Amino acid sequence: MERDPTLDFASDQFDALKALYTKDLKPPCDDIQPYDNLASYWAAVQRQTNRKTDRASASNQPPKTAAAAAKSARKGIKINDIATKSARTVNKEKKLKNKAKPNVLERMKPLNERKSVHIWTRSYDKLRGICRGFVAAFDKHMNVVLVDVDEVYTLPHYFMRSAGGKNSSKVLAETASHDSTAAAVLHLLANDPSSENYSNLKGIHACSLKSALQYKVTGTDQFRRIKNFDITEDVIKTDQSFIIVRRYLHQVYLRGENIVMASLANVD
Amino acid sequence: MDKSKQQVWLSIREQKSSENTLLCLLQGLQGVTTIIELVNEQKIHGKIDSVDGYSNVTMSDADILTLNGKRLHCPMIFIQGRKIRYAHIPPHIDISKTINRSLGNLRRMRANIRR
Repeated sequence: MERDPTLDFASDQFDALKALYTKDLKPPCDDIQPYDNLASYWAAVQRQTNRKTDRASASNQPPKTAAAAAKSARKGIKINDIATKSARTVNKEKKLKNKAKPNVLERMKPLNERKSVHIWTRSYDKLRGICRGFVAAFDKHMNVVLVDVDEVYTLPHYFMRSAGGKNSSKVLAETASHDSTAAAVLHLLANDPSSENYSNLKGIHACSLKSALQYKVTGTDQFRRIKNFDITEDVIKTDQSFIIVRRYLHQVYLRGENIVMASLANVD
Repeated sequence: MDKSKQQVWLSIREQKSSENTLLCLLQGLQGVTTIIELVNEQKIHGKIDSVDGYSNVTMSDADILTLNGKRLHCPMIFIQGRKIRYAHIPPHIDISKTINRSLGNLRRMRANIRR
């Protein structure tokens, strides 16, 4: 196949535009670096010239007299520094300045809408309770701001003698006959094995907590209601070893240290 | 209103951590009367005077409710940050606004230090 003079790189009639649009046309050298556009070519050329100036400044010869040498050494160091600060480092510094430092709001961006969530809280070695609410804010420590929170939690019984043991369970039994959901909750709670078996108690807490969370409190005189500092709490269940309390909170900040687990709550 | 809020000196480390975590929300709650629940199941109702970078809180005019039902009153109390479980936020407080405001305060603090 005869070589077209317009496509021959070495000829006078070389047509660059035509050459660009011909397929399978390669320049005569093997190890040529092809660039996608003129901008990348110019950037490569700039880099090469920077490297050349770096080398040139580094190999500057010192003057002959000592005093002049000291003077120019000081000057030379300065000049060297400016020259050796190549385009690469200058660009790096520019990038660092322009980069937006993320604050807590930007890190929360993945959470666009408020999600309904079950958050399990802990007290030293036990499961404490479940919070059901909407996550308004969070951070890297798992500190969470919850909105519209229904919380059910357990307290060791010896802490709250004033809550009353026998009376409240009687009241619960009376109401159970009228309300089917209450009966279901009571049945579940009644099936807990004795408190002697401590390891079982931890597991049962979880079931009774969840069922207590789903149970809707109706009427004010069915459970023992405690009001402290504008927070009303209902003591749902008391036992020899623990009591279950349920309450509603508008907005809470929960420290991440106390969270065991968080799971999405299915919207009923 | 500004006089009632104590000025807290935050180290640079504390400032950075406040900007990157929800500490800014707690710092925005300075001057607000709320309830703080501790890990030992005690509730403290009072006005939050100051919050530092480790989430330690000083409260004034505090009512402490212990689990036995005892109530104690303290004119001023310091709560270790790690012992806090809940900090209740009153319903009238807008969370995103307080976060934005305290982030602005932190930026101003940084700018003042530079000068």
